[in-house]
Amino acid sequence: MSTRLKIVSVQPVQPVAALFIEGISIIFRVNQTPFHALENINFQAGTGELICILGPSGCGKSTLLKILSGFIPPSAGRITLNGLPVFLPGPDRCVVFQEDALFPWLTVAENIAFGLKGRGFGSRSVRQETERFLSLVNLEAFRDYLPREISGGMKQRVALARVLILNPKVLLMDEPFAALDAQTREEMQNFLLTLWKKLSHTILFVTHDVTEAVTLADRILVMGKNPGRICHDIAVTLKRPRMRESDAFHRHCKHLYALLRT
Amino acid sequence: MNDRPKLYQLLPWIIPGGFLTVWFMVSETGWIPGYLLPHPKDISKTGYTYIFGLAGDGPYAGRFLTDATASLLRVAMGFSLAASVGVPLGMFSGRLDWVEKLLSLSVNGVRAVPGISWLPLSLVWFGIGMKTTVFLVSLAAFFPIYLNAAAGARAVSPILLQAGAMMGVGRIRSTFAILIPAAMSHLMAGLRLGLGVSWAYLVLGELTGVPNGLGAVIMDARMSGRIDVIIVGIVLIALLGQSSDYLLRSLLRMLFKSARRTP
Repeated sequence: MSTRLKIVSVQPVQPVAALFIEGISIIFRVNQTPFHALENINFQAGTGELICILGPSGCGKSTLLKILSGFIPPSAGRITLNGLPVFLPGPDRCVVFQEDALFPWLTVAENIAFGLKGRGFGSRSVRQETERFLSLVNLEAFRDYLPREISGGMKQRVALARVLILNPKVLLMDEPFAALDAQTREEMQNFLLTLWKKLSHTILFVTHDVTEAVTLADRILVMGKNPGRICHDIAVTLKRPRMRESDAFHRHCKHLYALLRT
Repeated sequence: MNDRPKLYQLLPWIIPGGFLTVWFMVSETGWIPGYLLPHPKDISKTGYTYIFGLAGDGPYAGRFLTDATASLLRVAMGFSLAASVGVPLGMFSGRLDWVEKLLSLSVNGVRAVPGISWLPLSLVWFGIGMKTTVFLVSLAAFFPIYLNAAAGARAVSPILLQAGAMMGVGRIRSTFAILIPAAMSHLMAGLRLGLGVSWAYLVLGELTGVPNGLGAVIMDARMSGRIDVIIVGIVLIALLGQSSDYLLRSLLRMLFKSARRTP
């Protein structure tokens, strides 16, 4: 299998939709009574688009991401990525988890190299790529540290690097910064935006944090619960880089809070 | 650990040292007669002859090497058998519900039978000697190894396996590169417990009248009333058991990153 490993620094954002989500529903059975965790979810994500999925806890936004990543099959509906149907987990749709999902027995560098091993790349090119992505996430100095020896923000940077190295078509992020302190979270958001500018991946970013969504997103899908569904699809027209202190920013946030309450 | 004061390093030796001192005192003063508990001096003399003496110089002179080799071989064979069946079976039953369902009733049933009650049956089946001992050792060592491997495999965070799956890792690599390292601390605990039990059942197997082995020496010495030899045998088994545990741990650390890096 040949993955393109080069960092593409300038990639024009194509208006072509890469990811089609059509009529996704999922029904869980809780004590024999069916529970609609997600009902008729439809949306498209364009190549290079950064979409935030915003919703209160329990609206099924993480479940939606698990379906997209292939960990749970939907009860109904279809997902296609670049024209191909999606069923199982695979390196074309990489996930950055909320919790600590690094391998604790591997060093930072080994964690980043993990996905490249065993796919027929020579050890030299694996090493080269690892170096490149170590420096991309500014962790060269920590290459030989174990995950338990580095901070939460660094861990999430490793988690990003180990999937970016696989050059996924879509990056799925499940509240990846929720467990960090406020300051680190802001740093990580800025960091993600810098990376995104460089690599221009399609990103689906699940969050319950309005400020985070407004900081990051091209588009925000606002979800509601019982049953979990997409209530609003909002384009964020704020210019980048976005100032979290500006009036326009606050207006956007206020608007979203109002939408979330209804 | 190493920056602790010197005294701290001595901590493990306080109990053996104190014990030895008391023993020395009760022997020296004659509170406990020599035919019940020989003087430490006599023990060390016996130990010396047993280990370094020339064969033929006395009834137990120079037998250590043969006995220890025989015993170690039996433990090694029984333990490896138990580990090579117990680890994979345990991992499977920790991950796959149907394997767990298939095995748990039978395993727990057999486990409820004290190992010692297999002795008569295994004597009938395998006769006196190597086979019986290996059978008893592997049977006894199997349970802690199996149960810990199962618990370890069950406790592996599904997030780690999902992370592997989304990075495109196949089943086989996922087993060896994620499941086993993630379960390593449990696996190690099970193997170490199993090795400890192996030594216990080694002695049981050797008490039945095999010509050589540390257990055989102890039993033989009882018949001829050589309490000093019995005690020498016990001490040597303790030392060998300890060293084999140390060896097992070092071997695992050498072979597996996860064993080295497990806190």
